Amino acid sequence: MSVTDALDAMRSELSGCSLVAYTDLSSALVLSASTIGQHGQEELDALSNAAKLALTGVVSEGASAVWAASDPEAPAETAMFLTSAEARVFIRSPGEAPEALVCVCAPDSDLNVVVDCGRTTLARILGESE
Amino acid sequence: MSDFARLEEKLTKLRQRERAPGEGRKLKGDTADALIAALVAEIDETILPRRLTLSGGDMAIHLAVANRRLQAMLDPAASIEGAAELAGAALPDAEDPSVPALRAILETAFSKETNFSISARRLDVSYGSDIGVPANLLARAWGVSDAGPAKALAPNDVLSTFLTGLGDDVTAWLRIEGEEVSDQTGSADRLASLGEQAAIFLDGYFGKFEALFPADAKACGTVIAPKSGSGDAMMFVEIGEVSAFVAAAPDKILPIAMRWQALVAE
Repeated sequence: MSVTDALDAMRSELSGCSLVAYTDLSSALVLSASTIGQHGQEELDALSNAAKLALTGVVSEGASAVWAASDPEAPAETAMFLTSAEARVFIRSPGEAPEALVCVCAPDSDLNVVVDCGRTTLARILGESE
Repeated sequence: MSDFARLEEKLTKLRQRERAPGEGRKLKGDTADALIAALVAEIDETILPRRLTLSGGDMAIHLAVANRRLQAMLDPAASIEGAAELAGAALPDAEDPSVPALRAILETAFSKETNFSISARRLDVSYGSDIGVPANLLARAWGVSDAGPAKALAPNDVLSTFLTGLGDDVTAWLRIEGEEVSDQTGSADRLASLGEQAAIFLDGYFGKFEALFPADAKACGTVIAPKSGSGDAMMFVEIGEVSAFVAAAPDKILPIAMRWQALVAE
């Protein structure tokens, strides 16, 4: 399954999901995306920048103080920015690869399902690239 | 509350940076009635004493609001008939003639210009927390529809409902109103460290807020979690002038986030 197919499959599986993107955290660039409707490059760049801030950047560093006493080396694995209008979910790829999955879905989505689906999709993508 | 002195000091600085004087957001509504309803909703969400400024075209209307009450129209009065007479006078109750008179002034302003922004800053005059007309009575006096925004659960109540429902699923939480920690749950040790951790997180969060949330976002929730077994994950929620910082195990944080969304999702 190609990266594009994996992203399409995830977006189709999640009701209310309008965008799934695979992004490089070090450069904050979207590598591939599956969307419904128009999502401009500016929006994709903003999502990728938010993923970087949440999973490896200053926001993640601040949050890690909460778990630093238990596991100071643990990175942020999952992040979410939630509003009354949408839920944006960011899932870091396992291992050393500085990549992440970004999902924009309905505000009342089952977040457990979104995260599980995101991890499965990441495994598919990384399995494909190995 | 001395454990939280550093957090409260940080919040004061960060919120001052977040809401620079003159920085406003759009008051939503296409008609005078809709704008008045939106204003009542804003009053209903304002707990701490604030000077709300409505700016549209060449008009500016300043209001004293606290404890979810409209307390007075303030100087300088807009150049609208009757405004100068009302400016600075406290609104005693919903039956007072100044209440419909103030609505008439707002209706005149909103009829001339529908593109208004609203901004808030600390109130530099004190009317006392029990002075003014509560938002629910104001809505009735001004004929704001019950189906309008004022009917929605107030931010304070949303946060109370959320925190009360957390029970044993959390390690600890801090409730923050304005710049003060107003309530807390958790062991003394955990709470002492949580205040420091919240201060560290909020430093980065407020610094990057505009990159994290759309300009008109309401009821913002942020979740950041390590892998399971690495210690607590965190959630920070904000609605109106109230917020909370929550620590919970990573496998508990998603159900907690969904509870928050169930309260605020449109």
